Amino acid sequence: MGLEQLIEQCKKNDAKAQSQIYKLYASKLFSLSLKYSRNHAEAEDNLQDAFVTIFKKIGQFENKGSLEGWMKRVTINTALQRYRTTGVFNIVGEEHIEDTVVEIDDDDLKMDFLLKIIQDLPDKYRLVFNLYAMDDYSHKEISEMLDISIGTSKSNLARARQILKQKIEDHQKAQPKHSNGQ
Amino acid sequence: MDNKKHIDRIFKEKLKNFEAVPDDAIWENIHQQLHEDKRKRRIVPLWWKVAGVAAVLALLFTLATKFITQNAIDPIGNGVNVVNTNNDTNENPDANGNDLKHSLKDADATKTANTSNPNGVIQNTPTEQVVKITVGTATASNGENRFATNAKNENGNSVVSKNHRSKNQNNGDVTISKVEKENAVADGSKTDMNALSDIKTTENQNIKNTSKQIVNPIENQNNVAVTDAFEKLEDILTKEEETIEDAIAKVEEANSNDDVMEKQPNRWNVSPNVSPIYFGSLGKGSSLDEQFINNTKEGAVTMSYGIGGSYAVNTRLKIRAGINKVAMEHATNDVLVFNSIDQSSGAKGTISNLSANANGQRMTYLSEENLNKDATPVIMNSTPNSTISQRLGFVEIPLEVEYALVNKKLAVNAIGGFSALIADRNEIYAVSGGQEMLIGEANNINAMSYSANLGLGVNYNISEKIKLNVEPTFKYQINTFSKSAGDFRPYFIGVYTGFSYKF
Repeated sequence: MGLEQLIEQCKKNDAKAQSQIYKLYASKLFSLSLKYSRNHAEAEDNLQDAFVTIFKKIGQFENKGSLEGWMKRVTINTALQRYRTTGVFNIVGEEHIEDTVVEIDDDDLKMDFLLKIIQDLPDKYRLVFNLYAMDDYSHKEISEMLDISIGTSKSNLARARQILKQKIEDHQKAQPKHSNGQ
Repeated sequence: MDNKKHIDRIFKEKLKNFEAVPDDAIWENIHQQLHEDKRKRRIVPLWWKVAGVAAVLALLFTLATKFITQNAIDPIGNGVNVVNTNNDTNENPDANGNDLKHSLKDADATKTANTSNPNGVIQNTPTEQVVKITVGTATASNGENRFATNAKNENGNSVVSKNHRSKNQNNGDVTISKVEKENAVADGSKTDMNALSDIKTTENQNIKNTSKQIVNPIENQNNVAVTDAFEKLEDILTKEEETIEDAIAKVEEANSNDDVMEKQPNRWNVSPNVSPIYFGSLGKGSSLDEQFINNTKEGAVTMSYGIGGSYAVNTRLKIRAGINKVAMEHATNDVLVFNSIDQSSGAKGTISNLSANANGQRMTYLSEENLNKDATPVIMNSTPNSTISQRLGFVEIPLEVEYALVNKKLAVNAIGGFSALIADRNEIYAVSGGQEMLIGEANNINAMSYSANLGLGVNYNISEKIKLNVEPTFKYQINTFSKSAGDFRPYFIGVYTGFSYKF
């Protein structure tokens, strides 16, 4: 069954088609959820909520863009919604940090480690870093999505980078034998 | 230093191919959420149907009661003169003065001749107008008023159109009572307008039906006015309906919120129960013999035990069935029982509904109520009174619905349904001075009978899985006895106590 047929079946709330779509995209969307969430459990919740929304709203998906892109947007929005309701963005009077180029050694950094330090970031930094660095949203888009100023978006990104850099450097210091590997 | 890279790039590259496989349980949850919703949506219309049926029954009952009462109180004049009725109202013109009779007066002015018709068919036959109002009378059985209007207008001025135009100028309430007035006239009964206003709400349905029954094509201006009037009436009615629908919608919303809050994947319950049973009769009568009609009777407290299962249709409604073993005992006091040497007393000495055994056949049974003590032998008066004890046993198969009135930790349920009773014990004893003697069995017990059940259940949630139940239930027996004497209407009451286990 082609993707378009699957989508049509999903629009009819067909369980088989939904299962197929889920199988096709679950791991991609789960990794996305993991990056936007604090931990594994929260990512699972997010994935579940996102898929429920996807299947309920699939009628609104027009076959113009890619299904994957649309599903990713729904997943990201689901994650943002979670924090929007908890009000992490309502922070005022935050000092703006100038963006500086943060460069580090491209060591054999493990995927798990990188994911872990992203998840450990404070919510507002994690979301902005993910949106900007990983998913290519502009500061303008981010400011609209999170209902913050462009300046805040920029400073949050800069702060996120600094924290991540610090953690990587600390990690590398703790494991000196890997620092000059190759 | 070549190794230095922008941090964004590092993350993007490293995590580009990162994929994690989620737990299988997540798909299960998603699937459940998507398809449980579907099930819920099905429940709502079902509930609508149930509520609708209940509402219609209540409506019909109210209507029927009203009409029956009215017919009983008011002398019915078949073919009450319509003109007279309107003249009565003529003395009480409403605030706007746009009363029914005004239009009729207008009609009179155009030399309309009103003729009354005993069959409830009113015909206005003016020179150039043909206005026909055909009215069906309300029947007590369904309490429905049918009202069909055919208006054929040739000179552009009909009574009907005027009536409705003038009503149209009044407010909705007045309009409704007017139409009621017409319905009442149609009934041919002398009608109290105030009384009818009371049942306005129930009548609305009729009016709506009435409006819908206007099927004739609209040909001229005045008929357009009629249509307008009806449309406005419908508007008013629709508004009222909407508010009712809103209310129902709110209740449903509340219910569905409950559903969300108390997601109950466990729909099945099993509940063993035990209950003391009291067996009695609503009327004065006897299941044994007509001579015992006036004797005092006592229901002994016996036991019922059994097991039931229930299925939760939604958080409030449960369907349940089960199987119980019920024992019943009913004692008829003040019976003289003695070894019959001969039947010389002249009084009836047998029990008609008893198939006596060898012991029973030797005995004579007399109700003390029927004996004239002065005229009976001394020996009879000195014989201690006996009691005839009828002991019955049934296998009861109840089928009931349970509706949660209060759905908290301490829940209150209304229970209704019926039971099938299969007789499995049938004994009659003579009891005297603490001694019992089996005298036979009743020959009037149906092997299969039924009961109508009504109860109130109180449940206490001990834990998520276990509930403690106490359910006082009244069961009215239907055709348990193939024949009985007097007004013997048996029932039994139980306080079913037990616990239920959800799985």
